[in-house]
Amino acid sequence: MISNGLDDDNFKKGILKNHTFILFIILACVMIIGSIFVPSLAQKGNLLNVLRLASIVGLAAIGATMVLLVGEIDLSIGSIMSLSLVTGGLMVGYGSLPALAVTCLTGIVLGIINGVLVTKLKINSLMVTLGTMSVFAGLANVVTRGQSIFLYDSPLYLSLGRGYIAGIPVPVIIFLFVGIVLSIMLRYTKTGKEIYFTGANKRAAWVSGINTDKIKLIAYSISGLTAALAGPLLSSQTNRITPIQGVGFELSAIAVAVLGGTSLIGGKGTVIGTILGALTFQLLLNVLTLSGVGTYMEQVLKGFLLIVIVVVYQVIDKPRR
Amino acid sequence: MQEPLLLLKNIHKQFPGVKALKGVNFSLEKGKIVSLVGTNGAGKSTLSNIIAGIYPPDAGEIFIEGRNVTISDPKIAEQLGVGIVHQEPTLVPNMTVVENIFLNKEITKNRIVLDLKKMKQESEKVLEFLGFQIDVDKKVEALTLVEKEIVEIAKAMLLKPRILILDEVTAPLNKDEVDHLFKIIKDLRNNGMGIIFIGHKLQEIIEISDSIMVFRDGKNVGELIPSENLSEKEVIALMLGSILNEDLVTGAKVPDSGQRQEVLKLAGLSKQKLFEDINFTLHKGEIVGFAGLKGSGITELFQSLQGIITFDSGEMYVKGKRVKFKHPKDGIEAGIGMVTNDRQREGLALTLDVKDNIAVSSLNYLRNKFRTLNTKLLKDNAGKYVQALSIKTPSINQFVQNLSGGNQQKIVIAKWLLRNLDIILVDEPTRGVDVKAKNEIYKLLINEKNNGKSLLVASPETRELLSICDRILIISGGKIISEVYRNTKEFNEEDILNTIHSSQRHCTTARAVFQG
Repeated sequence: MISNGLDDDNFKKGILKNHTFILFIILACVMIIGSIFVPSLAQKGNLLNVLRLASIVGLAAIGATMVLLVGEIDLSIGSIMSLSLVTGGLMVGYGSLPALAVTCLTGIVLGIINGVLVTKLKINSLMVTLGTMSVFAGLANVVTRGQSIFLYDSPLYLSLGRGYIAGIPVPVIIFLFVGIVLSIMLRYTKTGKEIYFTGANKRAAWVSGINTDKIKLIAYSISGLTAALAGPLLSSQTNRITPIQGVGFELSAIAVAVLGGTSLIGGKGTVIGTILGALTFQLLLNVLTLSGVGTYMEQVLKGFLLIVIVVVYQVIDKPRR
Repeated sequence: MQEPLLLLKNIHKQFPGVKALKGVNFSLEKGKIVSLVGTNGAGKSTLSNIIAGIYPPDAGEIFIEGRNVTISDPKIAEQLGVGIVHQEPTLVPNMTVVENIFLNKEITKNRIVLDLKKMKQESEKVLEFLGFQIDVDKKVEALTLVEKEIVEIAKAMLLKPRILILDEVTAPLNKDEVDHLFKIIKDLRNNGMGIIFIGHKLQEIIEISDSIMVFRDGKNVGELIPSENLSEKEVIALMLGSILNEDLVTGAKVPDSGQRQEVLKLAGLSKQKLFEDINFTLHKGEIVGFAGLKGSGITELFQSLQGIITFDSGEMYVKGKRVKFKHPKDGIEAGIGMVTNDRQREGLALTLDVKDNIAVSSLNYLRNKFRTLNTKLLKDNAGKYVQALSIKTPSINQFVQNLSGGNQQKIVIAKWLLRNLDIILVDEPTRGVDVKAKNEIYKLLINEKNNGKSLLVASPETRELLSICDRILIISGGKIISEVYRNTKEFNEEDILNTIHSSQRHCTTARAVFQG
């Protein structure tokens, strides 16, 4: 009677509802159709670029995934990125490593601030992070007085975003490393299970003995850390840190997480989904850019894409009862 | 020959992992009350939901007065004259009675402004017809359970349906209220309405029905016509088929007085407006029942023992050590866990699978030396309890939302068994659970007691307590008013109910309103 696998019916219905599977198909379609219409898409240089950019947005999206999994949201991802970049940037004079360390630390601290506000003051996370989004973004400008910090003297810092190890762009390696670590955390640790349970039913999680506040705090600090990690990868693309580097990044991160199958109400989603989501997202943007749509339209399309994704998944997920 | 009011032919319905209906035929005549009975997951609610357009059948035909119809959504069901009162509450708590009754059916002046006066009149008319006086301007959250149920019925009655489905409407009602409701239902029948009645209380069903349709495993297996001679036993026999031919579990063994080890002691435990001056000692290997009406404070007392809420004053000792829990986690760590009476809200994560729901409170003990989860151990343990509690699921990877109520309840119990708690507080162990699963759950609880666990069990069904408890505390208005021991002459249903109800007369009903 008891088996450990899905039964046949479940499997057949499951695969059509499996976001990872759907994403694979979408990714393949975008790739094939894209390369027919835009031949330059399939060039190695271009693909490496897509991979690099996908890794950067994907990193932040993994953090967004964690927060969405516990049933909350983090709108301050872009601002955390900006603020942690500039606080780290202040340290660039002391070398790349101190700068990067301060960036990561700032990200974690800002994440914890979000988490504490959400759990201790019991404020709606949409409102909390809408608020901190503005606060952190403002502080980034205050710290640098709106100026950029140039990175020409920090080769190690720059190599993070532009370097290769064994032919693979460094951002890709960092992205996959973080992805694997967090994927293992979600699947094979107590904290991971508790993240899902908290998101699926917060009250039941609490009654079952889970410290739901702690779990949310962990999710927000991870989100802070990944947003901060993505920052230097992006900055080194342009050789400078600007206080507005992260503007709008939260939208991309959340869009990627949702595209990857993460539920907006919590308890559902995977890191592998988010990784595929990041590739699909960046490839789509790349196809549009290459077909000459232009940078201004890109922002329009990002927002549009987010809405389309949510609608499509709502249709797929609609319970049939 | 006259066409039946409602005719269903060969209805099939499948949910992920579960074949809910396998070719059901059903007909309902005008002016008849047909009851649907069966164990949990037998298909009663699925069938009524199909008639009410909540979801479409996979195969089969539906005829209303001879006309082949497709009921693709609830709105269409309403237009076809089908009204339904759902098992789960559907009222919006912070809206008034009249707003709830007219939800999505608002009457307007010139299609813009709400015609509140007319809606009020209509609401009052329906309620008056049902024989209840409820202030229609009151918010639903301020109503008692009974009043809420009546408003649910009023809502379904508003469009004057020809077919009325009542899914477990009597659950929160007491005997007098049920009698009153039955009178109304019979009036409706005599006016030509066709009524489908779903319930677990067989006595009631025999009393009200013109015919009883018995479901088993997604098929209707027989029809019984109530008469003087028809007994509950016969209905149960047909419901269970060959599945089970045992009587209810009875006769818990009273532990020897020699080995009575105190595990829990309460002294003057109080929480304002909920319970007051609770003094009580629980021993190892003992099942103590808590009998009382809804809103008597038992649920809150249990909650405070695990730390889900905190008590105001008094002392609590676990194995001699004084404790006061601030977080449910504290209670669990001290070996106390509560099986909630609201499993969907605070017992389970419905969108997660069986194994994770069972393991959630025991993850600390399911880790390997690297402090990551031992997946095999987790699966083995979940599988073990799925088997031990005979939880019906295609696999331990099945989502809990796809299981029936009884199996969901067993998962909540399995969660605490895996955690190996010393004291288990069970609030309504068999709520929404069928006869077969009920018996299994009783056996399970007695088995735990024999393993040296201690249990507190609260239940609105006194019979349930009588069959498994060593002694029963009677609670009214948040206080212990009496205690009866097994093997004494007061240990019977009638005396206990009398004690509860006589105390209730002296109590204000304000408490019930406060909690409802």
